[in-house]
Amino acid sequence: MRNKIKEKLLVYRVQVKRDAQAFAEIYDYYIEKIHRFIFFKVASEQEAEDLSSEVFLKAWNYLSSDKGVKSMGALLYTIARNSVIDHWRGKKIELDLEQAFLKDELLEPAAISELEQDADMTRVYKALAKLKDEYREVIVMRYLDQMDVGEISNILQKNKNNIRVLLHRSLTALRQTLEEQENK
Amino acid sequence: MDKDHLIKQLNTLKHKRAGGLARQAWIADAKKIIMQKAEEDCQILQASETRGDKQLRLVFDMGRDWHRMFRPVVAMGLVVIMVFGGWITSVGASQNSLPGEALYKLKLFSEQAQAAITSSGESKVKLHVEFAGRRLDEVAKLIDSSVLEKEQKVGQAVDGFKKQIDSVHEDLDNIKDKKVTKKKDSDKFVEVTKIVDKKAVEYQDALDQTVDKVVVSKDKIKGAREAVNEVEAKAVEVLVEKHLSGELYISEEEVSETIQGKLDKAKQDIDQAKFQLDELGRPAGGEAIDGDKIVNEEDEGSSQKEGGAGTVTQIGEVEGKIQQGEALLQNKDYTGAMGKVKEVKTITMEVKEGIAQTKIVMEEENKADAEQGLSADGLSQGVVAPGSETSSTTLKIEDGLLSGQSATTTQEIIEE
Repeated sequence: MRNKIKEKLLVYRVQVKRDAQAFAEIYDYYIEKIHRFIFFKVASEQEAEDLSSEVFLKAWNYLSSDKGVKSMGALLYTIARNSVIDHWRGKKIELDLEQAFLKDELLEPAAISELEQDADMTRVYKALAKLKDEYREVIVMRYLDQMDVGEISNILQKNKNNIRVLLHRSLTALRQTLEEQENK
Repeated sequence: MDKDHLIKQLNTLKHKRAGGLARQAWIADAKKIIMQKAEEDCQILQASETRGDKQLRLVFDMGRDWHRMFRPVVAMGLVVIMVFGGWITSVGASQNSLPGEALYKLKLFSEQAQAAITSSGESKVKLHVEFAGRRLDEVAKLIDSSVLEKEQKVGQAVDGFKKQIDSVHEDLDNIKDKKVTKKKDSDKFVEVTKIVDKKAVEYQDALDQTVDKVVVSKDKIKGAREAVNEVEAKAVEVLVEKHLSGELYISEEEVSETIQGKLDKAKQDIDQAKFQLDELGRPAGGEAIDGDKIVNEEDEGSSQKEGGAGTVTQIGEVEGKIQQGEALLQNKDYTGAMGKVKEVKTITMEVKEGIAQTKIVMEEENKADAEQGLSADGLSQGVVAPGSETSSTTLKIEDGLLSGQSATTTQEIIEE
């Protein structure tokens, strides 16, 4: 959330005032971001939806049990990350996002054809799929979810300089992957 | 690709499904469910807290220390509200979802969350019993529907049902170990064991109907039935144990009536099994054959023999054990009597399965016979395969009759 104070106020409203609508505001702000975060890790729209719903239910249970919350964003992304790990542990298979995309397993046919109408977009997507998880996470947060460095550093619990360096490396890696694809 | 163009592409990707764009319909549906839970929880928490609690929370930094100090008070408040309120209220839209649907996992997770925040053992039992009932409702709806992969989805619901029944079993173990000192706790305890007992009988009947519809693996149904049998017996065993330890405010008569009720039900079940066995022993349009004749049947192909012999012996065994149970009950050996009830239930289940299996085999044999035109009175009905010699013989018979051939000649031709 761009405004840390606003976020703290919402947490206060949930835990002290027992105001469920405050949680609705948290949900509205984070739901698409959490969905996207999980989507790029689970290679399935359906599973991204299921896990995203679970994340918010777990976050609600955590908040309503009055445990301390330093950062709502950090809490949600931590729960999301752990949910994905549990999900893959349960399935006992390794994620290969690129393979899933190439086998058209990631998306419904309508979504694939939407993408394939733009050759550039398809190349970018494939290159993104090939990146290591840490790089892909920050690129998604910064350029798809449009979060600023401060917000990302809050969520990933790293200082802003580290995030700037990580962003630079991630974009460089993405451009290199794109060049390799073009040269093939 | 230069950096600016790349960033522009990434910014555009966010509006595509490939970029993880969530469906608006799903966002709205999921929000409805989550907010319903949040609102219900907020109402419960608000009702259980005092103004002083809230002020203390303000002082102790968003309630971390408050939580440690006052959690037992809040937990008790939740217990009182939930026990007073009876069955837990539903969670809105996901309530009607079925296995395979988008919101089903949410429904299950919401149920888990409800059970997790319930601290009272008796309330947990009631919750798991209700959730088990929901799984059976899902089975019934799926069976009547025309969904794809029906067997798999029904199987999933049956597995979910068994899991809830296993949880009830575990909950009964937990409450059994809890010391009961007050009358109101005793009443709660007795009420819960009776609820489990009653619901187990209903669930067993529902499972019997599911077997007849044959849309899911028999092993799954068998596993579910065994689990229900065990939990039904467990509820009464726990009641007996607590009564014998002197903790319950319950009369000897009530305990005795409960166990007698089990023996009476066992008698009804076995009488029903005998009736079904008699029905199977009756050929199409013929007289009933009793169990002894089925045992003595020499025909190797008779499926009735295989189903009949072992089943009749088992029925005898059950009747014997029921009598033993009643004798033990008269001597106030409640534990012994419940032991007999359990044995009777296990054998009765095997009898029912044997009869169900026999029914299926007989239906298949009858179907095969009908297809080959070899039913008992098939020839007299003129069931003849086209192009067969018999068919041409029939034509000749007709011709012969028309031309004045004798009836005797006709009979000879048919018998060839």
